[in-house]
Amino acid sequence: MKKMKKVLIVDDSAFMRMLLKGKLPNIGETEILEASNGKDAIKTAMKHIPDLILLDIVLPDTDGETVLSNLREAGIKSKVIMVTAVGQKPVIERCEKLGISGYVVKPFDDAKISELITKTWNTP
Amino acid sequence: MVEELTEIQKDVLMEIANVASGNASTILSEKIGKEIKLSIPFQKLVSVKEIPKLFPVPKGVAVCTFAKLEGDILGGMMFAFDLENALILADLLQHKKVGTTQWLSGKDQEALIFLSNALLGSYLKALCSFLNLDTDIEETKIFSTVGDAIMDLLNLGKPQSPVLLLGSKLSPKGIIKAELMFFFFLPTQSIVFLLRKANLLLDKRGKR
Repeated sequence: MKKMKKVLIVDDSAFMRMLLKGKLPNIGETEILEASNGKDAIKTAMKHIPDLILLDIVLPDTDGETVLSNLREAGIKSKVIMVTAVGQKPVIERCEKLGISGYVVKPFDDAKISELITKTWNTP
Repeated sequence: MVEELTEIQKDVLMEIANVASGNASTILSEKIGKEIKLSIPFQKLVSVKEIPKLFPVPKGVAVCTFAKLEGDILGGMMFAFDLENALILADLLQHKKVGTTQWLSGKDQEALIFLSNALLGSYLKALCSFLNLDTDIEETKIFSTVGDAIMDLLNLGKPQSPVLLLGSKLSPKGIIKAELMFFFFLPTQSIVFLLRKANLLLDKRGKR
């Protein structure tokens, strides 16, 4: 049986998680996981090893950059797209060094984020 | 109505504030050459007379830049800091050593208004782009006064009038005490309008 792919959406806002779910229409059957804080994000990622993580920066307990760093240190190689309102250059550069597939600043353009997710998803 | 906001409605309003203040933090970072740590936004239903209590130094001298909104939504936006932070910002904006400015001259105030216009503009642009709004800001004013007196100057309504306050804390890294507050004041009719727009966004983009 073919293994179902997994996407983890990390954002403290349920509204934003709903919007982002709507950006995943063309990537086939997927299991969508959600986390609203950094601790749950790390726990869920460690348990399920998602194929793709959409990760916010501003979180209630820590920040997305720390989550990303912890995941990489733990050997989690999931593809990560940062989706955040923070567009500061030093933050983007540090995330890029930690190996991300894209950095999207909110409010995002519908077509562009869908294209990026699809492209990332289809890249081996 | 505002007292009866559901959890998801509160979540929507918080995310609106997060998106807008995130964009403002990027502009602030560029203008003062410091990385900005952005807090999770907060929201509070207050009466107009209670607003000064939320300032960084409620009883002390506060410096605020304020602009009223006109268009689809009403209310106002304010960038507030205590006097010490205003002096630090004035130094950073004019590429002076921190501690140089001892009082706010006309030129320093112009620099702060220039910064505020950029921040308020960025906040509003993100908000309008996110929710497809047509709203603009009126002239930005600067006030330097003691806490309570500011509300008379802002003219946001009667002291008992309710407003929803969406706030964000912006902390430039490496500068002690330089914590800045960003406030977005919304009267009831504008909250209803924003929530309607957010629902449209979910209908259009969130369905799967």
